[in-house]
Amino acid sequence: MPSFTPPNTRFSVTLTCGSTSSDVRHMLKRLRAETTAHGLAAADWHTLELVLAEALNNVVEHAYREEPGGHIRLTLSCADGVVQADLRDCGTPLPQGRLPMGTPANLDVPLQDLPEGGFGWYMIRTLASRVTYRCDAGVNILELDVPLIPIDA
Amino acid sequence: MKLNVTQDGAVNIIQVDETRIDAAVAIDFKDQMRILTADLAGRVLLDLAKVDFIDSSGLGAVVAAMKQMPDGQKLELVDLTEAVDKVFRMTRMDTIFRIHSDLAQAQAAG
Repeated sequence: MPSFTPPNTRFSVTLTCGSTSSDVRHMLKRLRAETTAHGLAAADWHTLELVLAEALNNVVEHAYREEPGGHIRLTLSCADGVVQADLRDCGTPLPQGRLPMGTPANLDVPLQDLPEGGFGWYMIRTLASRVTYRCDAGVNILELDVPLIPIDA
Repeated sequence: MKLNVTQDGAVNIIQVDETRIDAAVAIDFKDQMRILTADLAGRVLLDLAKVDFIDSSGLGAVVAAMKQMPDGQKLELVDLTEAVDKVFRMTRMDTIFRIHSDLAQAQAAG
């Protein structure tokens, strides 16, 4: 696998999956095969996989409350050095229709008080250059831009 | 979720025989770690060489695994792959765990 995604790489792929964490795992496996076949480099896939896993797990845990039977649709479009993700589900909307801030966890605490969660939105906001959310006619739409590593980095 | 335990003197090595610690296995990992570490004496090293993906749920499970160890024992991490290392650095969890580059270095570090 090349170290950098070629700058002229363009593709669009849409996949759907169910609403459990093992459905998410299978979807990410399919996406890895699809995107790397289109030329996405390993390092870019690592970043993209993390952002997508956090966003998809949020849908599973909060929108669908870990219940099977829900549907998730994900479209990835790569052009001009950016992968744009469009993630849709019909679960419970985000509270107040707002994206969480994603503040970093406080680790300056005793061992037993260390956080075991709350890293997800922080990682999404660290790795994605743009994050937007809206709920439109019962459909939650999360859009994420993940920039590719520039070839002259 | 497959975890293999070996003992080398006073050092216990728990090898994660999986490529992912993610939301699908986080609870299973935490529960197995609780059983495995309940009566271990000596150092406990978690060998992550085979793990090429960890998400926030998996990270939380590793933190939980350390918190539930008896008598405030520490969990030491060994051989983080690039993607796993990135998650620990991004969340600053690399400042909480003692991390070794490989098993030989971990055992020599004492």
